[in-house]
Formats: sequence, structure tokens, C-alpha cells
Amino acid sequence: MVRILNRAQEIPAEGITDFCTSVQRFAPALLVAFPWLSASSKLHALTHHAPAFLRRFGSLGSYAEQALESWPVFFNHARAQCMADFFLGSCAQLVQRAAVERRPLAEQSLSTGTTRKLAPAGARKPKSPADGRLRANKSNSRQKTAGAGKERADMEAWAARRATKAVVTIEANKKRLTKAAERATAAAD
Amino acid sequence: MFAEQVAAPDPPPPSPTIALDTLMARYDMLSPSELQLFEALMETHLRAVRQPHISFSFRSGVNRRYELVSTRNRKILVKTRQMRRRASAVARAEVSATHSDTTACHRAIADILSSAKFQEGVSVVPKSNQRRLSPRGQALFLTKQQLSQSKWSELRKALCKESGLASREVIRTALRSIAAEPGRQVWTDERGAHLVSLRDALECLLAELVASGQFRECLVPGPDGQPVPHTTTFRPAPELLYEQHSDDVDDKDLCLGLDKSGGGTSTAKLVATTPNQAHPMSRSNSNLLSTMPCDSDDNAELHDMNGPWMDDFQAMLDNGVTVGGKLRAVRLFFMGDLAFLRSFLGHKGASCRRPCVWCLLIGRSGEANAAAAEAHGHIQAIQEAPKMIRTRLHLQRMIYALQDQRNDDLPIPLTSAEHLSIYHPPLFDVDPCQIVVAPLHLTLGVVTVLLRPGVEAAAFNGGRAAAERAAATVAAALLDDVRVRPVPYHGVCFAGRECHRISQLGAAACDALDGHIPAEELAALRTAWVE
Repeated sequence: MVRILNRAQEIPAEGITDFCTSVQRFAPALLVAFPWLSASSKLHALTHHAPAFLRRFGSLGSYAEQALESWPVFFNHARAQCMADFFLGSCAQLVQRAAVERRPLAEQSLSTGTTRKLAPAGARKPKSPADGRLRANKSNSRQKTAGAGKERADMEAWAARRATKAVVTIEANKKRLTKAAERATAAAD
Repeated sequence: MFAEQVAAPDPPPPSPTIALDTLMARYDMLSPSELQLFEALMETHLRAVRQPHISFSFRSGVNRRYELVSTRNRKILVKTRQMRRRASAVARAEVSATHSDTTACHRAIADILSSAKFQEGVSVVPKSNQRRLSPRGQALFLTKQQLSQSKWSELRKALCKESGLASREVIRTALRSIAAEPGRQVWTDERGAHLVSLRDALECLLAELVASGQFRECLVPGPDGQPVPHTTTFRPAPELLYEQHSDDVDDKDLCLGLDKSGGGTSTAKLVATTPNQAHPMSRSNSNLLSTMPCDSDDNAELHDMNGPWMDDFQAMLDNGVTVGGKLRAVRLFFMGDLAFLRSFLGHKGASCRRPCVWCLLIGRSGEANAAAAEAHGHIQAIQEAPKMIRTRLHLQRMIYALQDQRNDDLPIPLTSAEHLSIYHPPLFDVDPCQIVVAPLHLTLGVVTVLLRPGVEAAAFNGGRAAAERAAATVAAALLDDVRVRPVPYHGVCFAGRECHRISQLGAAACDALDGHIPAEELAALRTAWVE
């Protein structure tokens, strides 16, 4: 489902059918199994409007907001090189730079016609559990004591927050059910 | 008398053609002595024919051309000036043969000739693939690789002038000339910095796509699921009220969106993307139309920032754009996160009575909403399809009715059945079916939702202690098996690529919950992750 949601290509008819079936099964099954969950706007859009858009235009990822969301990274990176005396001047330089850097022109002008050949199938796969190509065997910042400690602390903070929220959600749901039962009793009386 | 034995005559020698064919066929198996003979034959042949050049195609696809440069009648002792002349002469010959850059060749040839002064033998000079970028190409390279001009100068200084790198002044001139091309010109006003013309920018992009062969058609599927071919030519009728063209008209798709972000002074970026190309979601393939400093992206600010652009969009819808010398209609989409879409349409927000920007279903409970929920559906009845979709006509009415209602303090002069939770004037009367459903944000939202129920089920069945244990186990699995970590902003949650990774390896989170929640709930969660 997520793959079709984000693929910036035309989706074949079978893919569209599979996506619609999966999406229509997904949310109702989840809400039945976990009755305290409520349908959010995003869940509603995914269940009903994403399939409609996909059926109408044949793709979701081609129309997505991924490119839009990647512009802040460009701004953060290029801001140091686009300094001006006033902020709007800096903005103008950034817009100008983005216009010059736009791909078809730069790509076409700089292309030499040579492309890297694809590696044969399976050539880049790890051969043994100790292979350096496995992420677990890479020596990067994660292996450093401070980096690993920070990551673990972040995850523990996330877990503590998640647990607190879960308890609040369940308590609120219990209260809601109790009130509903009381209302039903009152209505019956 | 003895019979004189007459020796049998020798068989005639094989034809040279057959002998050469045999030699070529057996080349790989020739012994060293046979190879020496072969080399002698080649030498004799080359001396006889005296070819001015030899071309050779290697298996890697590289073609090389070797030219004979005579050094006869030249003195062994070569002085600096003579050496310079020789190098220039050879470089000129190479340039005329390969169209490469003189400066780039000169240095290599001077080096080779200098070494040839002290030793005998053959010098081999590659005669191709010495390409030099024009100043324009170098300026584009500098921009594409995001190199600063000072870094470029340092690079040029380190590699010497003969490297062929243009000076900073030349690069600046080339950048200025690129920036002055139609579609790339920028102007500023009190709102921010903008491209001068949306149409020019779009047509420039499309022309480049067509020229590079990257333009692709976006055909809309018909009722039978098959793409509807473009069989009708677009004929603009700006004097008539705009109507969406039919699916068989030549058109191109254009997505517009706005995103507010940035540390320090926040800026809103108005971006246009074109699905009519490969990799439409690459940043370099999108068009940054405008950058505007802003405090918020609510409806009133959007009107101030983007109001002037809307006339350009309408003009483009009315008149179409030229693609490869042919006029095409434009199918306009609006994209962005849900908060932007709500502000853009003047919608009240996620907690209002009708929370969806695409349909009219009800989000609130209670007796006051029962009749409306019966008629239009309720958001919690997720298995039921929406009964009524928003329309472009309604947005047009709201633009007209609320055009003077920018002040939040004033009561809205319409009933709830009239405004349908549109409290502010929409910026544009887009067809709601052409509002993109924010696939990226849906992905992020769904992953967040899917990480919730496991821990909540543990809390439901075992209380706070069980929830903490389950959350710690899931966190450890996410860190060690999925190898993701939460971001410190947005209230410590997962974002961006981490969500995509979790969605691929979600089974690890389910495995971690084994023993913490009942088997039925775990099975349901596994099914959801698989979907």
C-alpha cells in the first residue's frame, strides 16, 4: 500500500485494484480490532479519497508533495552561499539559483553520454553475516559510544511518551464508554 | 642401372588470404615465436603503407585515434622556445583532430615532449575524450554541485590555469547570462522574491524536457481503466467562463503547492511540479516560483502572499501553454500538507463540523449533528463511502460570498448548510477531485497510527506497567532491527525516511509485541502492517 502510495509512476490497473482492496480492508479491520482507535482525517483520506484519486489519474506519487518538502533542505544548505545585505535579496538569490540549477538544462549541458553500467544481479548482496555491506557491520557514528547512547536515550524518551499517551487514550476511552452506558441506561429508564 | 628416384613436387603454398584468415582465427593460441613473426609482418605492413593515423575501438566502447608525428630532422637538444613551438604545433594538430581544448592539450603534450628529450621510444598521446566545458557549462556545473565561487577560485588556483577552469569573473558573467534567460528571471517586491513569469518558467521547463526527450504524456484512465489517448486539439476560449477540459484534449499536468518552513525567519515556498516527466518528485525537477518571508500560512496570509499568482494560474488555464510548438491545456492540481490545503480552501480546520476538504461528512457527534451525519456520513463510520463530495461550484460561491470576510472576529454571514465549514474565502476555485491527497503525509500519518495500537492494547489489558514494557520492547526493536530513531521535533516522533523504513520492516514491531498483547490483537496488527 505504501509503495503504491509513493511510487512516482503510472500504476497498472492490477496495482490500482490491489491498492483499493488493501485500503478498504485496512482501516475497518484496525478499528474493529482496536475499538478505542478513532478515524482521523488522514485515515479517512487514505481510505476513501486516495483510491478515488488513483483511479481517476492513474498515479498518486507523481502528484505528491515530496519535491515540495525537499526545498527547505536546499534552503538550509544554500543560504550560506546566498548572502545579501537584506533578507529579500537573499531570497532572490535563492530563487535565482534554483532556476539556474533546474535539472533538464544543467543535466543536458553537462551530460557526456556516458552512464555507469548496472552491477550484475546479486553482485552487491552481502555474502556472509560478517560482510561489511551489512548495515550492522558498518562502522559509523552509531558504533560510537556517545552516538549509540544518544540514540538509545531518544528511543527511551519516545517509548515513555508513547506509553503515557497510550494510558491516557485508554483511560479516556473507558470514561467515554462509561458515560455512554450511563446515557443508555438513563434513556432506557 | 638404378631407377632414379624423382622427388615429389612441393604442395603449392596456401593463398595469403587463407593464411591470414587462419592466423587471425588462431590469434589467441599463437606461441611467442609466432607472435614475433606476426609483429614483424605488421611492422613491414605499416612501413609499406605509412598510415597517417590508426584508429582503434576498445571493448569498453572507448575509441582511440593515434596520429603519427614525425620527429625526424629535429635536434636532440631542444631549447625552451623550440619546445614551446613543438608543443603548440602538436596541440594544434590534436585540436583540429578532436575538437578538444588547446590549453588542456598543450600541457600534456609539453610534458610528453620534455620526457622524449631524455629517452627514446614511442610516446602515445590519447587523442580524444579531452573535453572542456564552456564557461556556461562550468557555471551550470558550479551551481549544480552547489560550489561557492570562492571554492571554485581555490580549485582553479590549485589546478593551474591550464586546467581549463574559467576564472570567477567569467563564471559570474556566464551565470548572469543564464539568469537573464526567459523563465529564469527573478524580481522582488515587499512580499518576497518571485520568478517574473509563471508561463515563461513553465514553457522554458517544458521546452527543455522536450529537447532532452524527457517529456512524457500523462493519460487519464477512462471508465474501462485504459488510458484515454489525446485526440483533440486544445482551443483556448478566454472570453468564455473557464471549464475543465475533457480527458481526450491535449494537456499537461501541473501541481502547485506551498510549504512554510525555515529556522530564523520562516519563508513560504511556492513550488510547481510537473508529472509529465520521469522522476517528477526530484527537487531539481520542480520549479520554485516564489519565496516569501511569513509568520504563518493561514488563509489571510495566503491571500496576501499568493493572491497575485492566482491571476497567472487562471490565465494559464484559460490560454494553455506551448509544448514543443503545440498549444496544450493545463490540468491544475493543488498539493501540500492538510494544513495548507485547509488554509488554501478557507476551511475551518480538522476539528470543525465537516473536517474533510474533499467531502461533506460530519466529524462531530451529538443530536445536533445526527441528521447531517445521516445524510452525509460520519467520519467514524469508516467503512461507509462518503455520500457527497465537495464541488467547484461551492468554492466559487464561497469566493464570492466571503470575499470581504477576512476578519476572524466578525460572524460569518452564512448558515452552516451554506458555508459547509468553509469559513474564509478560498484562494482558487479548484475542482476538489484535483486536490492531491497528500500521499507523503498520509504515509507518515499511517506509520504513526500503526505504532500506537500495540502499546495501547498492552495498556488496555495490563495497565501502565504493561504499556511501558511494550513500548520499551517496540522501541528496542525499532532501534536495533529497523535501525531508526525519532526526530527531536514534532513532539519526538518518526519522520521522513524513517517512516518509509518502518513501513517496510513493520513486522519487527509486531514481533516485539509477541507476549505483550493478546494473540488476536497481534494478528490484526500483523495484517495491518502487511497491508
